[in-house]
Parts: sequence; structure tokens; C-alpha cells
Amino acid sequence: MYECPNCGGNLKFDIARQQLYCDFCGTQVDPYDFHKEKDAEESGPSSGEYEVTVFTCPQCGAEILSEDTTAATFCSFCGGSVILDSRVRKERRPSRIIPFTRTREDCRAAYRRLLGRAFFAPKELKDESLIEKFRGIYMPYWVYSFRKKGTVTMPGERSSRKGDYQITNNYDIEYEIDEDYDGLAYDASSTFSDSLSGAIGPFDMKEAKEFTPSFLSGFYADTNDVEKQVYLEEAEETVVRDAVRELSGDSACRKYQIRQEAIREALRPAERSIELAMLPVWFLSYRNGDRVSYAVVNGQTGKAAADLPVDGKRFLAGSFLLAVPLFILLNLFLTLKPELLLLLAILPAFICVLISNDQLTRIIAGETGEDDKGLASVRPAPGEDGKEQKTRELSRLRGPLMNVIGIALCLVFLNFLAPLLIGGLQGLLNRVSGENDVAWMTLINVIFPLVLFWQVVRAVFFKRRRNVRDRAPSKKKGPFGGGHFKEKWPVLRKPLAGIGCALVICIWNPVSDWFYYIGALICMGTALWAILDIIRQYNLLATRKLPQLNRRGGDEDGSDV
Amino acid sequence: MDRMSDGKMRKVRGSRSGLLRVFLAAAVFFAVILGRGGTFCLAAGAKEADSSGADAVFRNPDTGYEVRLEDRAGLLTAGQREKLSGEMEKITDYGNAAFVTTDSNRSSTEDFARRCYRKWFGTDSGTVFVIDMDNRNIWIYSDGAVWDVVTTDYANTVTDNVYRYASEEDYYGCASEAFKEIHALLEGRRIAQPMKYISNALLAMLLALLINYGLAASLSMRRGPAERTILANIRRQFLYSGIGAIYTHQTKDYDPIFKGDGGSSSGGGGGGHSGGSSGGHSGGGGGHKF
Repeated sequence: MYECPNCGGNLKFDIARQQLYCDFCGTQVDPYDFHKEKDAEESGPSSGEYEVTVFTCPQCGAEILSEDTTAATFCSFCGGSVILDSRVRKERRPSRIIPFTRTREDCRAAYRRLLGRAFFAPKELKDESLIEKFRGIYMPYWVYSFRKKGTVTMPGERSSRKGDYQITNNYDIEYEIDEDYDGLAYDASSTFSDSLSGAIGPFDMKEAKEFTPSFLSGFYADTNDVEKQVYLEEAEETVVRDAVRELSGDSACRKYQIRQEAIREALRPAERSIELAMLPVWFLSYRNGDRVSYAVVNGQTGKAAADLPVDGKRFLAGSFLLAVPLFILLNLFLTLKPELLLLLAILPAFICVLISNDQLTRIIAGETGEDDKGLASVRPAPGEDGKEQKTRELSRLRGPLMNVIGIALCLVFLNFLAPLLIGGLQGLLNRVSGENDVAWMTLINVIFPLVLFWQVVRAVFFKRRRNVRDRAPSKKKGPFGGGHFKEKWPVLRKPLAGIGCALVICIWNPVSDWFYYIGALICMGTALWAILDIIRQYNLLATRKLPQLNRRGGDEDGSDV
Repeated sequence: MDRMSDGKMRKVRGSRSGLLRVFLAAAVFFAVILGRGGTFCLAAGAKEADSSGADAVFRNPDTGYEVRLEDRAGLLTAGQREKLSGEMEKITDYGNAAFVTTDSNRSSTEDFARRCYRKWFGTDSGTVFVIDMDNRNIWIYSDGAVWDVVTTDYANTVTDNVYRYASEEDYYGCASEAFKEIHALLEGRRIAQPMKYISNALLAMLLALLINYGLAASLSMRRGPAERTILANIRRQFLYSGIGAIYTHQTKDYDPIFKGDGGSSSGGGGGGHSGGSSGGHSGGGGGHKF
């Protein structure tokens, strides 16, 4: 707590004034002045630490820092309304801070604007009493800086032709460069997801100031638990790409045909430094059962992002409303023959399979932290325990055998099933369709089995191998957009059963319309069922598991690499 | 047969000459002898159904539109043909009406129906209902003003509604119901198409759910800032100056230029000609297997 030098009241950082301000007597104090008086005695900048009250949530273990000793009554990370345990602790002192410049009112306005677009969001998210709970939190960020100055040499060449000979003159191209990139910021808290921090970024790091604890007065701060090396490569690649873009435009580079790879290596920074910074974020959590969703607003720029789940009832009501004009339109312009209806019914079921598959992949990635570098770096790697290790070894042995079976299945599909499927559907196409229908029916009949076949090939030949050492999220897409077929099967089997039923009827090609109508109704019914699953999956994607944190880490040692 | 020739015919018939009576009698005789396939005309407003299973024709004296029955497959009894002819007469208020059955057709039913229609009615308004026993298919082909009403969609709906009669070998019922529904459409009444509404309702619901899902997903999609935006928000400096290019060495690769014997020649494209159809007119219809 920062006491007012005039009346002894609690000084808090006032966003509008950008000063410490006493609500009781109106005294304003420069944050750095206070730093000189109070912090210099205990934990000045030279010590690398500062003293702060740490509140710990008894439910989820999340820690939140404050300069205020007043009891915190709810946890911003799990949304639990509990009295947080508090104790005073020395924390690593950040180097920089961007003070809040957007007020709570700005933040609420930005959040309301965001919710204005979310037609199907639960009404609880728009509740004023919830919006009141926005909490100003300084989020820890690793700030990467890169530098290179001096002469760089790159191999270049110029080619010409003389008779039957290609003559290449080789050169060493020399450049004097001075590259300096300072302020690439990546969040250093595992509770703050990369997707949310990315969505409200970037912060204007040119506005960053030297850190002093008095800036935290009236706000909270999160602790850093992500190791500083986690984003180093990503930050460096950003810098190298920019430098290459700049230099590639030079006439000499083009004249001497310098390879991009040579430029990249020549411009790779020589010096790297990493600092901890505190950046302002308005943070709100909404808890629903065992799930929590977050809304965040950039405390400097006012950019908002949120997890926006869908209210099932609202979604269905909205869909019914939209279905009415669609039904009228379809009746005006569309009379489908039963055979065509059956083929058309396959399309939404197929779309459901694709959406469901994509969402399940993302859910699995989200739950395991695969899509979040920061979270992945603090979670135990898969296979670290003995049981998983054994399973992995077994699967390694099983791999080649599965590949052989997979190849055999592919061949069977290629030689037998695919021609049967395409032939059967093509026959049906010739019988039932008018000429105008040929183009798009062929699309369904031919492309659909091809897509299925390609997915089988991908699943067999490009199966992703998980690298235990590399815990960073992989950019490569796995089979079926990420594998995990066993986990996905219970959901995917519904629309696939509908598609299977429709295809059987197509190949059977009965005379009676009832078979087609029943097949189409089954296929559309399973698609409807799958869409309800998709909404449930969407809500899983738009919310998070309650955090279970055992905070510590985040490189307590020095800052330079 | 166009209307002008119809008009001339009426004049000829009006004279009721003995020659014509002889000619008609001979025609009926040959039709009986030869069985199926022949068509012939009767006096205006007259009606005839022979017992041999051949043809019956009716001409509407007000509109000039005709009814033709050609039961090549012998699916109807004489009584059924007469009854059906009577039912088809109502359609002649709007256009020609024909009913054809066949048990030998090497082309598609649609082609067969179109050919029959063109042969008898040209591009005049009307409709033909075909039962093709060879392809086990029924087809409605319409043209002119009738096609404006009995569109391909409606032709499909009508054949969907009546194919079950054909499956049960009730060919008269099949044709009778088809012409009743066509007549209902021509009179501006509605025909039953419950499955259309059920399937369209389901399709509409599915589409609405998918559209709303797409809307929700796109609106809540989070995108990180572009790389240029990130770099614009940091302290960034990239200065360079070229010092020079230092020559190091030269490499020489033997890479002879291929000299062919005159290069390749590509054949010129021939002139194109595509046979045109008989003009910009087209009818259409729909059918159903049974």
C-alpha cells in the first residue's frame, strides 16, 4: 500500500492523470517519486526484486500480485468467489511497464461492442453485474530484443553464356548493416492463452516505461511462469524475415542473385536480450459449471477479445427464424427428385463431418495445451510418466504393421470400392438427372469419394509422430486435421452413419421413392444430430477447463541469453 | 401439324365429301390390320376408340388442340383407352394431349417422348405422357403454354405421384392420375407434394443451422496482428549500405544448346462446325422409373 504523504490515505494509480492519486485529499504523486522514497530502501531496481502481496486462489492455485493488502474476493482465472490467501513475497522485478491508459469505462464499452456482434452469446455474458467484475491486471510479457551491427558477407553470382558454356562469376557481397529490433512481446503467463494475448495485441512497446512497483497500485499483476526461451525462436524469425525483406529489395542483392537462405544467415542477429515487462490488460472471467471463459481488453489500445460460447436455446431459436424464409425460398425454386434429394442430403452430413473433425482436433489441442506454446511449456510432456512411455513404445512397434494394413486397405479401396462407388453413383446420375444437374452432381459423386480416399492416404502415409522433446505446438497438420481418430470416432460416427446409409441406397438404386426419402431423412437427421454435437463442441472450444495451477518457474535467473 | 393446316383441314372436313369418308374407312382398316403405330384424324368433335388397341383421336373444336393415344405396348383395354381419351379431352382447353406406350425403345424415354411430341405437335402447346416398358420408365414431356405450367419440377412431381400405379401394372390408373394432375395444374389448382415440403423443411433447418454456426464461428474468430503491425509497434531500425562486390572465382559449365531440326510443329486447328438444333425452342419434362 502506498500511503498519501498528505493524509495517509491509499494512493492509487489514476489512469486519466497518469499519476498516483489520493481519493481522499486529491494529492497527486509521480509514480517514480514514490519509487525513490519507498522502494529504494527495500528493493530498488538494483536488487532485481520487489516486495509484493501475493494472493493465491485456494481453488485453482492461481497467483495474483498486488501492491494492495486488502483481501481479494474472487479469482480472475477460475472465476471462483473466494477469499484469496495472501502473503508478502519478493518477486522478480520487471524491467518495463506500460501503464493503463484505457479506463474501466473504455474497457466496458469495448466489451459491449464485442458482444453486440455475438448474437448467440448467453445473456449472462451481457449482465452488468458481470461486466462490473473487469479487473485491471498487469500481465507479464517476455520482451525480446535483437541487434546486429557490422559487416556481413554473402555469396553472390552473375551468370552469362558463351557458346556451349555457362559462365558463372562468383562474388562475396559485403554490406554494412545496423539492425536493431527492440520490443517483441510474448505473454509469459500460462493462464493467459496465446490466442487471447495475440488477439488483443500488439502493445505499443515504444510507450513502455521503466518499471516501478507504484504503477501496480490499484491494479493486480499476474506472475510469470513461462520460460523465456519459449518464444525466442519465433521472435527471432520475425526479425530475420523483416530484415531479409528489407535487404532483398536492394539492387545489388538482385544483381548478384544472392540466395534468400544466405541473406537469412547473414542477417541473423548476433545479440539477443530478453526482459520481463508488465503490460496492461482488463480481465474478466465467466464461470459456468466446470468451464470458464475469459474476456480481455488491451489496457493500452482498447482492443477486445473474448471466449464467446453459444447459448443453445438462442442458437436454435435463431436457426428456426432463419429456416422460415429459407423454407419459402426452397419451395419457390427447388423441387427435388428423391434420388437427388438423397445425394443432396449427403452434403450437409459431409460438411458436419469436416466441421466436427476440425473442432475436435482443436479441442484436443486446446485441452492438452498443444495450441498454446506458453501452456505447453509448463505442462508435463506427454509420455513423461512410465505408463505413457510404455504405450508409446508399443505404438512404435505397432506403427509399421499398421502402415502395411493401411496400404492394403488403400489398395482395396482403390481397386474395388472406389470404382464401385463412383460407378454406382455415376449410373444413378445418368438415370435420374437432367443435363443441368450433371456438373454439381458429379462434384458430389466423384469428389466426395476422392476426398475420403485422400484422407485415408494421409492417415496412413503422413501420420504425425509426436516428438516428446519438442513440446511446442506443431504447425504441421496431422491426418484428419490432427489424428486422434479414437477420440473423434464417437462423434463422427453419427453423420458418417447417415452418409453410409445414403450411399448404400444410392448403390442399391431401388425403384420405390420411399427408400430415397427414408435415406434422405436419416441422413439429414444424423446431420441435425451432428450439428447439435458441433454446438456442444463449439462451446467446449469457446470455454476452458478450470485452471489447475502449481505456479512457479518463468526463469527466475538473469535476463540475458 | 400447325394451326393453318388445321384450318384447311376443317374446311375439307366441312365439305364431308364421300372421298374423305372412303379415305377414313381405308385408314381405319389399315390401322386395324397393321396394329399399332398409325395415327389418324377424326372429324371435329368426333371421338372414336377402336377395339384393336390402336389409336383414338379427339380434336377440340374451340381450340383445335388434339388428343392422341398410341398404345404400342398394348397396356390398355379398349374401354380404358376410351375412358382415358375422355379424361384427356379436358386438357385440350390448354394444349394438345398425347398418351404413348412402347415396349421397344432403344433411346432414353425422354428422347422418345420428345420425338413423339415433335412428330405430332411440332412446337405447339401440349403435353405427352409416355410409359416406356423397355426402360421401365414413365415420362411427361410438355411444350409451349403447357410447359409454362407443367414445368420440369411439376413433371417430376406428377410422375413421382403416379409411378406406383405403373409398378402395380395399373397403367390406366397411372395415365389417368397423371392427366388429372396435369389438368389440375393447368387449371391453377395445387397437386399434392408432401415430401417436397418435408424435405425442404429439413433442408431449410439444416441450412439455417449451418449458416448460423458459420456466423457464430466467424464472428468469434480471433486473429493475431499481422507481422507488419507488430513491427510497427516496436523500436525498429534496419540500416544497410553496400560496401561492394569482391570477385572470388569463375566457374564454367559445359551446357550445350540443343539445336533441333527445325523445331516442333503443331497442327493447325480445323474449322469448327457444330450442328445446330432446330431453333431456339425447347420444351421439357420429367419422369420416373417404375
